[in-house]
Amino acid sequence: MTTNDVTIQCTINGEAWHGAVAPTDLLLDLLRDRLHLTGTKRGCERMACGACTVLVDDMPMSACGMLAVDADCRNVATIEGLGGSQSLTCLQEAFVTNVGAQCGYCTPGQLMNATALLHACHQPTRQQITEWMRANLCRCGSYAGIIEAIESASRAAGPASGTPVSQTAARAGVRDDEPS
Amino acid sequence: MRLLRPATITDAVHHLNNDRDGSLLYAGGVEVALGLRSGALTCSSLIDTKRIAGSYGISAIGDEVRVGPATTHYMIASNPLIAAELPLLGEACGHLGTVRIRTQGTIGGNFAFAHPHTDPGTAAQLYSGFVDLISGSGPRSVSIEDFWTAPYTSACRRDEIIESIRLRPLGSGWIAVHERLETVHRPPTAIVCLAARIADEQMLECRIAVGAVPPHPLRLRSLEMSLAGAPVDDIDSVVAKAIPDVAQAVSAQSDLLGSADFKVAVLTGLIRRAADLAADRSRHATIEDRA
Repeated sequence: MTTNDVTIQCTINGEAWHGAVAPTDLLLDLLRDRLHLTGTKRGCERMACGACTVLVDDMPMSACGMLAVDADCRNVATIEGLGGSQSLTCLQEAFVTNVGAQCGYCTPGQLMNATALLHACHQPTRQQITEWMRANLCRCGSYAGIIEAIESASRAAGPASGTPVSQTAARAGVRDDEPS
Repeated sequence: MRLLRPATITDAVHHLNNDRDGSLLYAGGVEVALGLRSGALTCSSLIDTKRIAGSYGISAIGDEVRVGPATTHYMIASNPLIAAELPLLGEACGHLGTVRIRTQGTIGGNFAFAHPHTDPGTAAQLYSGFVDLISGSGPRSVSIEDFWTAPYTSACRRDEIIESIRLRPLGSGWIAVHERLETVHRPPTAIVCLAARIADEQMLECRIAVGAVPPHPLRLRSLEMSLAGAPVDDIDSVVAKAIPDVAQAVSAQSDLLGSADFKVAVLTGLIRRAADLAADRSRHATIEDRA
């Protein structure tokens, strides 16, 4: 620890964590290099590809473009926190069933962003899915499988009881007027 | 490098003045984190503006809507007050970049970075209003139209902090349209924000703000005057006649997104489309009113 390091405390995959980070440390470095949560992938490192997508307070963020100090007092979820070692979430199952991956490198980021979408909007339309997921690139071109997987998981989950489709979330991230 | 987390704007100004050349303000950190990482940016102290009281949130104050500079694009796009009073700003923030950029990036950061391809900045031009700045010498307000001066250059000096952004709703009777052309994972080629008051197939009043093509977002006042009073059937011809004036006003530059001529053609095409859409919506509104 240097004199300029900052102590942060946050929750990572449901477990409390605290430690010192340098002001310029990125969340990606903290997760991968110190906490060995290597499911979060290092990709373009300029917030373009989405391979490093994690959830911070349930919202998708680029771990490569977020300072670790900004995780202070927040809930961070990585792919390791999705499902468990013996069980998959409905969305993960749907990715397997619908072949939503080939090489798999982008898959953790795709899953985290899709999880955020289904948090914000329980039954998104195909256009809404396309708009939201354009944040994540797949160099293998598995887009059709990814979209079908999200649609399938959404259908399987059904509308959340008492929680209508979030119009505000739809406004924030989704364009109905744009062709997919 | 030190991290400073002031809780008040006074403390933030104090930190900025104490280390004027070596400090860097940040909120979402979209540009700053990448700049620091690449070495393009260096600083001796990093000032986190997110914890400053009043830096976050949206509220109605008199006949204006105040947006705190650390408010994220996602929050603006999903805010009911914005949807009711400044819908074009909400739409612009909802179109910007990708969802990951919108959840992290802030409107203050977007304004201060002064990217020529700014969607929120273009929408803000349409509404008019002020950016409130504060420094050790006191506060001052700069009108939205004067805020950007060149690509990546704004009226905000190195010793100033954006305290708030105040925008004026258009009021009733206006129809607003946001149009843009974007290639995925590239900045938008052209952005058009248009608002019009239309009655009996005539454009009574019109505001047009454009971004991405000019060096910074700007209003096309000359074209606005030409369209005011024009029958909606004449929109295409009025815009076509104005193309040389628009080209001069926007000073388009050829770059990887296209030639200068191509950009002007796209921009004027989007203006025509936005005006036609506004006319269509006006007709539908009239039918709904009669029903």
